[in-house]
Amino acid sequence: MNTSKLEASIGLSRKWDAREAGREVVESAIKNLNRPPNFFVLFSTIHYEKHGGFQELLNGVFDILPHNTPLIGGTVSGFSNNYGVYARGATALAVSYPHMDVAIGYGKNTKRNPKKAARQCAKMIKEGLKDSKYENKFLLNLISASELPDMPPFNRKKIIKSSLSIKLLIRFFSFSQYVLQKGAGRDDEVMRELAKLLPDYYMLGGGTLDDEKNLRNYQFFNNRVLKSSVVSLGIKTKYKLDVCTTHNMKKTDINFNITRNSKDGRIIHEIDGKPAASELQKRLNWSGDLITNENFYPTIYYFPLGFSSDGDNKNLGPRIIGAIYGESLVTVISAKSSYGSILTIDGKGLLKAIDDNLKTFHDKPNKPEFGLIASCTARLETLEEYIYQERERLLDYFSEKPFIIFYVGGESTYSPEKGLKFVNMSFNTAIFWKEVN
Amino acid sequence: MKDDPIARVLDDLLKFDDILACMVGRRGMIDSILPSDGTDSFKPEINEIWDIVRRTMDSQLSVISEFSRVGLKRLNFQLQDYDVMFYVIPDTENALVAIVRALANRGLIAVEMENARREIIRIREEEEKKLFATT
Repeated sequence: MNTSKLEASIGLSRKWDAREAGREVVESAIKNLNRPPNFFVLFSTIHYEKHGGFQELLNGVFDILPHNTPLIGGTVSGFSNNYGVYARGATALAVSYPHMDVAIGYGKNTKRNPKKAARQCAKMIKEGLKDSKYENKFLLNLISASELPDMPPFNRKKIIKSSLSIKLLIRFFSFSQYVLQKGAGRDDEVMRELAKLLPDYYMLGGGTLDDEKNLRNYQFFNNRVLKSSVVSLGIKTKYKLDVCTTHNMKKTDINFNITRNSKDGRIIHEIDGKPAASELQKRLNWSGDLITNENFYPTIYYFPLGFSSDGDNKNLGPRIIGAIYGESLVTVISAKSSYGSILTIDGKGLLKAIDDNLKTFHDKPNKPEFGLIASCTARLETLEEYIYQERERLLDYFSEKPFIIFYVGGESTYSPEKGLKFVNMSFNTAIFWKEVN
Repeated sequence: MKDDPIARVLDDLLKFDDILACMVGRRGMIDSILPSDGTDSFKPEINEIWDIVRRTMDSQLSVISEFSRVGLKRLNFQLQDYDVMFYVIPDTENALVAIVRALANRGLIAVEMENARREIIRIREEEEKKLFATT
């Protein structure tokens, strides 16, 4: 047995009971390892909330996992791995390797004060890895995504037309954001701060979710269940790695300027001086009643807004319209530039984004050893059962090597060379390979 | 029913809040497979529209029996505030059927419907292998 070899393994549980699922996801992951794991990354769907709760899920995990194993994780809308694609259950990545140092961190109150949360988290990572001599640095960041208050008319409806309730809603939003921490995730702000504080790390990020009702989501830090937080896994290792974001969106010739939006830039009220929702539908040549609550996903998700995060109007990233309240378009990313364009994509294009992404790793000297992939939940919801074609591409690429695609809301990568990419409807990889001997 | 592995796949689907009823159906509802406890675990709100759903479903199952052999894989229709999703079991006249709330996240349910369909195919193949081995 080569004791210096990297071992990585995927765990899976489809049990409904939280405690049993926690045990099974660890047992299935560590059965393939000869040494205890250096870290454990856990993803779960929201269903365990009603089947024992997330504390019981983590209790089940630490019934089996050595108590000193660093663990981070969170809730996702679904996941895909070497075994299948699932919208219910739990999955985990366990890695064991002697030439690797690991630290985990967290920061609380991301919706109220994202910069402070990022600073708290970055400090823990820096402190934990200060004595490490390995030069390749990686940071996985799981951040609480947007949450709506659990009350009518929010729950489930993506389109709310009554003008009275809209004004109240938007007013209530700012109260809710700071006091209740129910509102925009502000995960883009957390990522920007982390990239500023830890600029020599390669980062992968995703916003934790429920089943897209957007009512609640959770983060895991060792045996603790957190809310409105960022949790991070920092790694320094001999293994090489890179990150890449692709989305394959095509720019249409429908361009506009945002002339009025909310203070934080996330809610668009007017486009070219006209009410935003009506103007958007007019530009798309859609009748006013074409988008409904029932067909929201298969219509609007294929036409996200394109925005520039770096001032380059030729390089537009997708920004999904998450809801339409009256004439206001609610998005989760704060845009700096007022220029925008409608982007579009079809199912084939969504799959090609994977090929485009994996191509960027083809010139690496060794095959992948393991991978973590943050993919937008909108990709899962629009591809539906065709999502299996996404997994088949990954199976081809990774062969027997472990990988997890976790479906999140608001996904990102950062590298010192390419900078921060924080968009929607994208495919984001962090892939590790052995350095040249 | 309790020992039928396909009924257990249906039991699992019914645990989703948004799946109100499910079965493996066939035209005329002949040889349909229900969850382990029959229709007892169907969500109560389905009772109000069950007759109309059942009739509509049956006419769609006739379409499936006619077109499954030429590659029909999936049918969906919306009835009042509900969606009825049919996933055809290949090389049969049967379909996995689920009735879900219209505002449910169909994308996520579609993934688990596909997983259930694959599991049913696997169970049937195993049963056929066993049958073949004993004859």
